[in-house]
Amino acid sequence: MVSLADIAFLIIFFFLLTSTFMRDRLVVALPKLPRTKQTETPISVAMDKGAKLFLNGQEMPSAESLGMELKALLVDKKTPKDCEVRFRCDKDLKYKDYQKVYQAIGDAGGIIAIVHETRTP
Amino acid sequence: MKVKRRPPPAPHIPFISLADIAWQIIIFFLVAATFAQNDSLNLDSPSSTNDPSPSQSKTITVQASAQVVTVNGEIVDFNALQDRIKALLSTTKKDSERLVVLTAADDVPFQRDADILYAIQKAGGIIVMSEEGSGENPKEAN
Repeated sequence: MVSLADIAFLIIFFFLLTSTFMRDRLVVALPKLPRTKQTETPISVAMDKGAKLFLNGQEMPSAESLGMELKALLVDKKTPKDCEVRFRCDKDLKYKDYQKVYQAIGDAGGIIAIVHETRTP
Repeated sequence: MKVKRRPPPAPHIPFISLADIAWQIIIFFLVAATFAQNDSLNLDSPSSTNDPSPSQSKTITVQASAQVVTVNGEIVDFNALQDRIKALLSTTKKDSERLVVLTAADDVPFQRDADILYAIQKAGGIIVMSEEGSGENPKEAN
């Protein structure tokens, strides 16, 4: 029983550490859509309520620099699944704000995966 | 009289309940980790074009503003958008005929854009994001 408790606490520490290193720490109010599918891609682009851009948690100064960084990340990717880019965008942002992100991801050869919350019918 | 003191009880750590608590915490983390995953709507053919001209006669054009959505120039009820596109695509055979060019006005919120993209994809359309005409609101068809 003593070793069982030890094992259990080791697992707890593992979860605590990995959750600290989670990719998407940025809080974004996601749009709500019916259930679609989940993506496992490690590349994540986020745009918060203030239209600030982030690539894998790092703030990007502009959509152009985002495009260049994405191009470098996607250069050796072959399959469409590898080219997926999670896009987390605030649901209230206007098209004039997020349109440049669509363009940057598309031009870099990425496939946009719009991350959303699930809306129950 | 000398009172004989009892020796203090040996310290006892309740390992059984400790392990129980630990497993409860593990189960919580496992469940929370499952719920942390969000779904994603993949735009399978992400394209951004200034020139939606190829086979324009067959291409479906969706124009969206914050208030109005039009399909091939006709105003469509937002809830009927998916059915309308599905009906238009029902006779198509080739992928090239399933292109749906989406033109959004500057004021379209992301939630609405995502709803429209979802409706087009569910109707079987291949989305082409057009930059042409962005900023303009779709005009009511006469």
